[in-house]
Amino acid sequence: MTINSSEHLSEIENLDNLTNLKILDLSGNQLSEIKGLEALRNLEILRFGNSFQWGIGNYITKIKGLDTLTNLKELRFIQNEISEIGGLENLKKLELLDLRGNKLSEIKGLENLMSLKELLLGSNRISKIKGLGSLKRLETLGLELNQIKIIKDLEHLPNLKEVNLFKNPVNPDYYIILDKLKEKGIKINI
Amino acid sequence: MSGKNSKEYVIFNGKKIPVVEDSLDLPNEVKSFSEVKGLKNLINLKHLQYTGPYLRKIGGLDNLQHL
Repeated sequence: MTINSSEHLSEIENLDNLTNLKILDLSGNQLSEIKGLEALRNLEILRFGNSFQWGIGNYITKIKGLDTLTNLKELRFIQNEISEIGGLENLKKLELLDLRGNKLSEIKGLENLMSLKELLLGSNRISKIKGLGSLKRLETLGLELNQIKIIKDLEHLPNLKEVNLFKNPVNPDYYIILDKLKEKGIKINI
Repeated sequence: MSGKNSKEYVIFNGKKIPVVEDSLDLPNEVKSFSEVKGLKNLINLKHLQYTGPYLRKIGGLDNLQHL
């Protein structure tokens, strides 16, 4: 189900009976809070992004209310107001997490996302790559347009294929790590 | 029924809006799903899409168990 672009829709409600719902796209509304999704246990795709068609966006500040959505595979919060990663502990089937264009300053709260393949954190305020060591299935890491100076953990990710560090002030001390990753065939965009 | 050749439809502002391939694409002008006559009868509908700027409230979808 897609309900997006409404400049008047500020609350998620009356979805409790849609227990078979697999896709819910609530991008481009005026939502400030995640609630009322607890019963949607079969949901696989959930989107709270911005609406490029109408220029309208949600402004969610906190990730919460997702504990029961254990079948989620894709979760997107493009251009919201999220300042901290949390509330994802139960999402063990999550394969794609998109938090581009938020207010994140730190990578954390991802330890349990054992299925994660794609992590998109571009256009935030992150200064350090860390907290990714347990994401053994991670293939794509997007960190463009951040404040990355320090790089850790990347050498321990066996399935990593692509890292985007475009427009980051990476400390030259860490170029050696990036060179090693390139030697392994990992695509580095810097 | 809302199979591929479904003849199901809803009415909004006097206009017929058909279900096409199990999917209903609502007009941008809809402000509330309660304005869409016949929506609650589409019990086999699989996809509902609304991409307009006017919707004020989500509701009236309780019967759409196959979404």
